[in-house]
Amino acid sequence: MACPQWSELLSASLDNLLTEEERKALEAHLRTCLRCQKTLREWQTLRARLQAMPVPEPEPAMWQRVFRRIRRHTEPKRFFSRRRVAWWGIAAAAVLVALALPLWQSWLKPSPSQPPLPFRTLVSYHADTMAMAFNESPAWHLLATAELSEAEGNE
Amino acid sequence: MSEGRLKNLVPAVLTIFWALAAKGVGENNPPDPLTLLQISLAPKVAYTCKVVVTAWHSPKGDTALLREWRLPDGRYRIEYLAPKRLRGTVLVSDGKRRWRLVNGQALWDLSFKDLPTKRWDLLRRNYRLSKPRPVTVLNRKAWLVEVQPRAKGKPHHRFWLDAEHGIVLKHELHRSDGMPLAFTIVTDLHFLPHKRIPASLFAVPRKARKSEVRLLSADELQQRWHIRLPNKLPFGFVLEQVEEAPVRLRQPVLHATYTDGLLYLSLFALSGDLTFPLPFSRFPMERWRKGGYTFLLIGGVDKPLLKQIAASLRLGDEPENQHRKQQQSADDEG
Repeated sequence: MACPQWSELLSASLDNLLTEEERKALEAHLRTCLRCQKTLREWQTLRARLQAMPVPEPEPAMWQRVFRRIRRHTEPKRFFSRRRVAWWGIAAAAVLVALALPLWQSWLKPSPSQPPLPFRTLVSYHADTMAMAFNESPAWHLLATAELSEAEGNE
Repeated sequence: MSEGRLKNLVPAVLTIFWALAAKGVGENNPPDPLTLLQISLAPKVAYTCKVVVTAWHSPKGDTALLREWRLPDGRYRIEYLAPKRLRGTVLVSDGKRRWRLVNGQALWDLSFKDLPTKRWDLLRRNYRLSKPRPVTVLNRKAWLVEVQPRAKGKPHHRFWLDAEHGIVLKHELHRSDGMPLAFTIVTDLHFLPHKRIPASLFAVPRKARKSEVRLLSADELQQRWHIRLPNKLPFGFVLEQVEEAPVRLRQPVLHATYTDGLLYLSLFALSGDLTFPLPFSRFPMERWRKGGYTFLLIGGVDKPLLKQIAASLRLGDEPENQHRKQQQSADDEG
């Protein structure tokens, strides 16, 4: 450990930041102080090792992120940002699909000139007649009920 | 053994012999099967029960659990407990009419007096009724009656009828080739005093309207619909009645009923050439067009038999069918 009053000058000498006067004073001290000599040697060795180490290069994406952040903080905000336009587009498409679906279904249905014949309703009416004639035979009215429940969905 | 003792034994032996003979005669003389079937249509007792019914009328099988309340005066209520999709369906009768309610809304009602009458004479003519066999169902004495059709293509019935009250405890319906069509079995049967069953069970919603069924005579049929129907069809079917059905559709529906005493065939006629493909259904159906009407024949008989019956109605071949036949023959030649 260097003498406390000389450690600051020692550090500055490594960076060649001493005035002529300070440099002479430090050299005079170093001639007599073994502790400071040792500390200076250690720091010089450390600096040489650090300078020998490779300097890592930042990845390119980092610069893009940095620049994007800078732009975001410096440029004025736009209403039609790319992200906002994308969200609005998805929402509009969903609304269009919701509106078009009933139209599509009605288009798939037969035209009014050919109304769908409610076959299942007639089948269930027949089965109901059978059921009643047999004191509500469960076999027949189950058929009538099952046909009707499907008729609700299909016709 | 002394002669006197032997003389004393003779009456006792004769009594035992007579009793055994009488029992044998009793077993050999079960009730008339037709009488049993007639009684089963109107049991004179108040009861409640659960019914499990399974039907295989098509690849789509149906199973349901029902709860029934019945009174001897003809009132009844039947509720679907399962499956979930059929829950909410209730059949209610006040003894004169019967309403089909779906989630409290009356879908249609049928009047018993408008129903086709039971033709027991036709039943005897078209079916063989087996001699009732004593059996036990639900720990109750019952009679097993088998009803075999004389014509091939009609279903075969087996009824297990309660010996005391005539309730149908079990019923099996088989196709003519032996395949099962529907099985029904009663569970949890309880006889109740009439007063123990609340009258509110049989109440019909106020909004339920009475359908106006218009029964048509042959002349009226000709005048209103310009249709003539044969009185008899092959395989023992007879025209029972013609009505303008109370089915709430966009147009009036003509409904003719043919019966063989047990089964019914429904012939519907609707105006217009309705050429939509027939949907999948649990009943076989036949459709054709004639004179501006679309006819639909529905019945619980096998498909080939229904085809023959439809052909015999002689309501003609329509261009659609002719075109199809021509196309089919062209395909066959190709």
